[in-house]
Amino acid sequence: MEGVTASEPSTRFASARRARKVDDVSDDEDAQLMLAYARGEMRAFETLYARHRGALYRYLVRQARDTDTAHDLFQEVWSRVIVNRARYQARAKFRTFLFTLAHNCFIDHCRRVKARPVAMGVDDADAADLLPADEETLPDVEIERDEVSRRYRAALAGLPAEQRDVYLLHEESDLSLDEIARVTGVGTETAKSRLRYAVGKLKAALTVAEDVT
Amino acid sequence: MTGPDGEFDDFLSRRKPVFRRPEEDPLEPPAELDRIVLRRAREAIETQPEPAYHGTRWGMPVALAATLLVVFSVFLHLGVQRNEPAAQVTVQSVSQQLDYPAAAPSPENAAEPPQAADAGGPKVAADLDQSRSGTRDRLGSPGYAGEAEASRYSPPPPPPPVVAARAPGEAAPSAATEPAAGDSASQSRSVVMSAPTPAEADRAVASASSTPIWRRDARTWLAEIDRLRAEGKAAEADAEMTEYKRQHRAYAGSPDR
Repeated sequence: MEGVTASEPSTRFASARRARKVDDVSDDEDAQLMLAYARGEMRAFETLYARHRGALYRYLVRQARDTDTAHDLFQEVWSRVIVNRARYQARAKFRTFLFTLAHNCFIDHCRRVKARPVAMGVDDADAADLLPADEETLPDVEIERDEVSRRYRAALAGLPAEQRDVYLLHEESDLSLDEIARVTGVGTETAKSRLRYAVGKLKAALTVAEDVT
Repeated sequence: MTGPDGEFDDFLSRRKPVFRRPEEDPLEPPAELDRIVLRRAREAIETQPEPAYHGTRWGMPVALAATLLVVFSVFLHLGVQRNEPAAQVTVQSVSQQLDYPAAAPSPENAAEPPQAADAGGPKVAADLDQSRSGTRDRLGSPGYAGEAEASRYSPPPPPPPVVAARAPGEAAPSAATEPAAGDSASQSRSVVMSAPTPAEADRAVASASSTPIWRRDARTWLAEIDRLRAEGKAAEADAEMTEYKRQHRAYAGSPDR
């Protein structure tokens, strides 16, 4: 893509490690880039966009579970960043600002379609992913990797919306519990509890699936 | 670290994966999405209007409101001043009127009182002489609240004789004409509330022009009587005194006389 220079992580934990590294060195830099863009420097925005595009996209795709909706939300979030550039103040991390916008956009989307249940169920395709696959379909490592990925997504989709939200913020944005609590508008202990339940359910779902296979 | 709590702490600190996760996550925004977002960002700063005012957001409206308030206040103040009526009566003008209340009566004015007397109703004697001096009438009239106050003002000097003195023996007006209202307290009391008949009023007005000068002022009249007595003209003095008492019945009944 044009103007985007930051490379994307190849693995989830590599992504997390890189996110921490970025967090250490560039939170202030992100804010400066945003302020520079507000002054009219397009290159600052390109750098900012390259840093956060992947994490934001994954967060929205996992949340919306629909690519088209995720694309719309992705554009909406960045549009809000662009529109609010003049009002941005470097009092919080740019990532907190960005994922707060993303969280609010998703909530608005759910209100618009009136389709945000308290606990989102697993659709048929994801439910099928949770079931053990036939032995003939697991001939090699590639297929096994795909299976792991599918099980993971299915288990994630099976989480209640609030727990999935907190978990994805933790995984994709690499925000701290305090920041996640601020983004989602709940207390830190509530966010921590939701995250604990989400991790427990994911672990249980994926372990059972592995044992069955 | 073992146990669910230790495991969760490891997850939080990202020291160890809690469960097996996919090694790769191919989810990336498509290039088309990147182009759309970057194009919007570029267009936003290219079409960004130059702000006309670089102060705080509330600075412009506050300055505008303050300016309007000042302009409105100034116009309001000027408008009030313009519409304010000029003072018609000032302390100075009133004092001037009180200091010089008596003007010389004109013959034309002297002819007017019969109309006022004919207007009917009981009239005070002071009303009959309205034509002589408006200010004097105001001070001596019953409607004037400051009768006693009026007595504090010094009487005006006797007006110059404009008509010939009434000949001795000529019929004196039967009705009491008003004395000078601005005289002393006794003279103030002499403003008698007697209502003259129309005929008496006519005679009084007709004789007003022939009244001797000293009879127009109570003080000068009494001084003239004293002078006559001093010159040994007791008969004339008594006649004048009788006439004086007839015209000033209150004086005749006053305890000091």
